Amino acid sequence: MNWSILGWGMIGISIILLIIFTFLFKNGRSYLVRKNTQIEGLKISRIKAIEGGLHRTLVLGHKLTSSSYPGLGLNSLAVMTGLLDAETLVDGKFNIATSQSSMVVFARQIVENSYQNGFSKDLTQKGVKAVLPGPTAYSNLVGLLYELDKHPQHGLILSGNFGPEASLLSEVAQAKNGYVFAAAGTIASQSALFSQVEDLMIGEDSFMLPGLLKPSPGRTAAWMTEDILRLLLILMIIVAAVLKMVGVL
Amino acid sequence: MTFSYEILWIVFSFLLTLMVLSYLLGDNIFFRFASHLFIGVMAGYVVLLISNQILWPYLVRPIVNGTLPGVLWLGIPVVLIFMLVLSQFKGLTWIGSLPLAYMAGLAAAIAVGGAVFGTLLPQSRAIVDSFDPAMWYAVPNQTWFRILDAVLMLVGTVGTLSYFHFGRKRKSMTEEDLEKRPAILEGLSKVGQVFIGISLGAVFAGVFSSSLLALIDRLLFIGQFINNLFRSF
Amino acid sequence: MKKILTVSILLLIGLTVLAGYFFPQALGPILNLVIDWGILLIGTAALIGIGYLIKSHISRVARRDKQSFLSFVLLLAFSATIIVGLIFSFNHPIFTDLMINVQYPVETSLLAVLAVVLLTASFRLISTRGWTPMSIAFLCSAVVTLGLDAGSIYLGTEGAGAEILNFLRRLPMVGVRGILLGMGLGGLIVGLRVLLTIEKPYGE
Repeated sequence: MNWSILGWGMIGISIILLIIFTFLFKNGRSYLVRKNTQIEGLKISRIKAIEGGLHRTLVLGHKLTSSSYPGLGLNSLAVMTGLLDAETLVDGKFNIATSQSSMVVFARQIVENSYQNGFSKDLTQKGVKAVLPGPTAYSNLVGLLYELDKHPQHGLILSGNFGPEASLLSEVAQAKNGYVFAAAGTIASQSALFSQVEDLMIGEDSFMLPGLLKPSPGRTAAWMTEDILRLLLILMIIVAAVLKMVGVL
Repeated sequence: MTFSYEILWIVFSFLLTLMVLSYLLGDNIFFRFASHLFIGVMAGYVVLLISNQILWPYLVRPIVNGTLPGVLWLGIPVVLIFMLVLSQFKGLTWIGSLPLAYMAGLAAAIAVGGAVFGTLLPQSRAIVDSFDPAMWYAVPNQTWFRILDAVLMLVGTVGTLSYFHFGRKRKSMTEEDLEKRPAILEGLSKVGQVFIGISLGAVFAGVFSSSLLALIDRLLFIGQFINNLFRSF
Repeated sequence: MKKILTVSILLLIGLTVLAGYFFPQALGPILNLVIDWGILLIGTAALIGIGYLIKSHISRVARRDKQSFLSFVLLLAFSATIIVGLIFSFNHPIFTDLMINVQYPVETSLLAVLAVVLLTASFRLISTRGWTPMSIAFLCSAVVTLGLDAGSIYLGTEGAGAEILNFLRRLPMVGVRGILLGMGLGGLIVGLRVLLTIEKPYGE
């Protein structure tokens, strides 16, 4: 069997489904996804932080692209757009941090665009800061520990590609009675955060997050496409395993 | 000279170790000092690394030593770089969308290619290959283990994938139903939960073991340093 | 016009790289060029990011913020590293000594702190996650793996005992494979979302 052709078939099917479903959802159709209790916690924490004038920090992880976890960096940038609502952009006290220097540039562009689209093209926002606490995973960690200690924190949101050191950040935030939400996609960070963070999105669930924060026809289409693709993948693996067993493959 | 030079670094390492470990007692000025020193050194290192490994070989050297067509081709990235730098100034953010679109296109294509050809196909293939009868019978008294391995691999993977199904049960009667997947997938996801737990637990143990080794390494280093210090007096 | 240009660049680059997976030989030279330019851009963006880091600490020093001397330490360390790196070569022993003697103790000590954090956090497992199949499996698996790594669980070097040990070591791979497949699906779709301009990380 030519596995490469299978790969191209997957890409092709995904593109077709994404286009068709985006078109369908633009015309009022909907796809019901399971309720996510972790998101409720995140939304409540946002209100509490804004009302209490407390700081929130979104950490975007260490990599824009990675061979083991492709797309996690891009997903974290999509998560960011979902967190930049009007109140956050105006009230401020929201920091976006990453150790990947190039992601700071992306983050600043997204923040500026969100502000100008929501308010005026002539204004420059000052409420949300995209910062680089340190340019490597560990220097970012110590830089963030300092930032977390400096201000009264309420929310720490981890989204993207992390190592197990993310648990140190979560420990510090929780020690200051802060809320922690994690969609840290790597297995190492999830295992480290598993016993610490109640609102932890595991594995592929991280990719559900942008649509839950800021729904759009395209993001709903992505959910449905991913579900169909997953079922096709399961079917493909089972059929291929049976064929291998009987000696056809 | 060499002797004092080496001693200097050992003392420096010892002090940095103590400063960082002092964080176990809570945030303090020594930890902050070590942190800022570390960030500064790493930032300097990354600047040098980018200059040495990226800007010099990909930009400066081709311009200095390259042919005219080659240099002209480099005009494109130079313009994009210029736009990227300009976009950092107030009011000029919009200029940055072109170079960022370039980077986003590159990152997206790498993500798609990497996901399909680097993850989905090799991982699926590994599961399918475990059903190869030739592998089962390769070692006679281990056949049943191999079969059990393969079946568990299939059931566990299907269960884990089912756990991630986004869609929910169509007929939701109670609040609890809103969190559930369609019936068959919900059942399979229960199996998946166990396998996810097993994997995360094992990885946790690995992470803990390696961090424990780091702790032992640092404690030994501190012990050795103090021991040598007392011996020298 | 700007929007069309932006989307055209995104598609041109994205499709060229994707096509490169299919026709690696034919598109090799173009693909190399596209990737080289991308590396240059990412490198520049990284320098800009570090520029922001340095700028923020310069302002702290200029404002004489509380503990601005820490920012001064950072700037001093940054300048010293650059100067040492420029005077001596990148691979010179003095430069490598500087890097090793700063990076190694700090990173290893942070890992050591992490060991304590992980240990204390593990005691909160049940209070955080409750008695669920996943948390019970996590607990059992962590204990068994630690036992296997420490050599506390020993069932012989050959025969059924050894097979059981091997089986226990392989078991976590099942879930890892499932999680990685899921992450692969997510990566595929998020990449396509960007290429189909559903997501616009580059701005409008």
